[in-house]
Amino acid sequence: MNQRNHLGEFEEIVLLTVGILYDDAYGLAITDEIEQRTNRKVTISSVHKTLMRLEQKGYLHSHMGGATEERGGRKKRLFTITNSGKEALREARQMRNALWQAIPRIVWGSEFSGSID
Amino acid sequence: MNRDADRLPPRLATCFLRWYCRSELLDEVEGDLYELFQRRIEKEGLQRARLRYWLNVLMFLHPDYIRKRKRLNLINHTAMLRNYFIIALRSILKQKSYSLLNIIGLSLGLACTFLITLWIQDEMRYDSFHESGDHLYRVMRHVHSDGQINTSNQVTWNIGHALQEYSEVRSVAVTNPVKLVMNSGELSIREEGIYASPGFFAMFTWHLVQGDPEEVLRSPSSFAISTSLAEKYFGKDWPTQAMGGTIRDNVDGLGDFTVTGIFEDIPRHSSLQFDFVLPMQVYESRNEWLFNWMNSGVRIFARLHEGADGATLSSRITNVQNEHIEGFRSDLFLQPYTEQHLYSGFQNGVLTGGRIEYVRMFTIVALVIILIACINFMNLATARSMRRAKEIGVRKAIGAKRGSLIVQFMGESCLLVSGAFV
Repeated sequence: MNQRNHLGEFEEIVLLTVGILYDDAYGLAITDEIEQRTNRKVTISSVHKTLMRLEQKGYLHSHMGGATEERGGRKKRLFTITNSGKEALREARQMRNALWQAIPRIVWGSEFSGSID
Repeated sequence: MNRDADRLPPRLATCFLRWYCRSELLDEVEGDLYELFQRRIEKEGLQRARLRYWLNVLMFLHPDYIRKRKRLNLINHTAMLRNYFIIALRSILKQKSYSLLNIIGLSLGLACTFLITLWIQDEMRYDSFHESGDHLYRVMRHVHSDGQINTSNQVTWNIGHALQEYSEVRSVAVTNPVKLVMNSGELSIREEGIYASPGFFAMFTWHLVQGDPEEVLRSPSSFAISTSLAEKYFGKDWPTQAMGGTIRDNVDGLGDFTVTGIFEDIPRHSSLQFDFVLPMQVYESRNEWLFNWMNSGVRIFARLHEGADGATLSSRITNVQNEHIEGFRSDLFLQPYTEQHLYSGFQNGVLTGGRIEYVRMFTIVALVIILIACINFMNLATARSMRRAKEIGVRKAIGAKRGSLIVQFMGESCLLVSGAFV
């Protein structure tokens, strides 16, 4: 796995959230979704920055959506995951699984049984 | 959605955001923040929402979001400015006499104008510190005698009583200046003060440090002094010692007085100047002549009710004294208290000005001086600009734009002006 494809933890979360929101993934909605699902405080600006970085890496594609009244007439930028984004997520997950599986069972003691998928 | 002005995010923050944010990102960022702001109003109230909006705007201050300035240009700019600055300094130093002349001319002009402005401000401030200032008037009179009209602020004591009959008048104070040799302990010094009737302290705004404005001059043996006088006669401990202390007048035989009030020293911007106040009763009891309508000698001030028109009352009281006298005419009128300093010149019964003439004159002088200084500066600068033609030519040839040349020479002039300013 080379450096180029590396996904940071927060990047991964953002990328996944974009996937969850599917066709309404824009800055504020993503922030809300992350806050709800992960129970952590996320600022809009850090999400924005991550989105921009992901787009630069080519994992996200964006287009401007329509302007709505509730945004004071401002457009939103809607994000969708690109194929390479999906690939990166998949790779990240595989890498994680591989790491999980590499952990000797003894480490978990009796609490853990079964494997993660 | 409610779009009242209240519900809009802080304008300044939005302006700031628009200023720094890259235009291609602005719409989404502004929109997101707007939406967030609206939601926060509901949840956390307007105050917190506004604060959070500001924080959010500041948190977007990140290189990725900040508008890219043209880097190359920026560097050039500082270098160019430095160059302009150096060239300006060099050309100033190169022609010392010219620059000196120019700077001195301008700075003299500016200095004169400043001084005159200060003086005018000072003059305008006179008597403006009284809280009831707009309703204060002084009683004046035009005395007709020998075919001449003389105007004076010394009027007949009786007018004080007569004025109180008018419904517009709220209170009247009768005063007369006095010089007294005062004794307290070993000190005996000649001081300047005034006699005043009991309403004096309530009418004007002399800040009483100790004592009640209504009561200070009630008793014939009462005596009010300024803080500096109190310190002089009662020492450092005057705040505790002076009240109730005794001051004696030996020379005029007025007897002993008890200090009943201490007032802050009279501001310099007051037409009335005094260090102590004696009750008018003291003066009245020793000067029977006061009560004769034919005699004049006291200064009377009146405070009108709010909304009462001084000019109307002034015309109504014209003949108050004339009804009681024979042989001459004495037309009374009121002058607004705040005008007495600047408008005190009367000739043949007509207001001709007073100090206001000087004020006007110096205003014009100041304007002329600054005009001349400016013209002089402009003239010298233009005359000299021909010498710089070669430099301009070279600069143009190298590729300077019209705008940058303007910037350069304007900057140079500004440098000169700021030099003159200092």
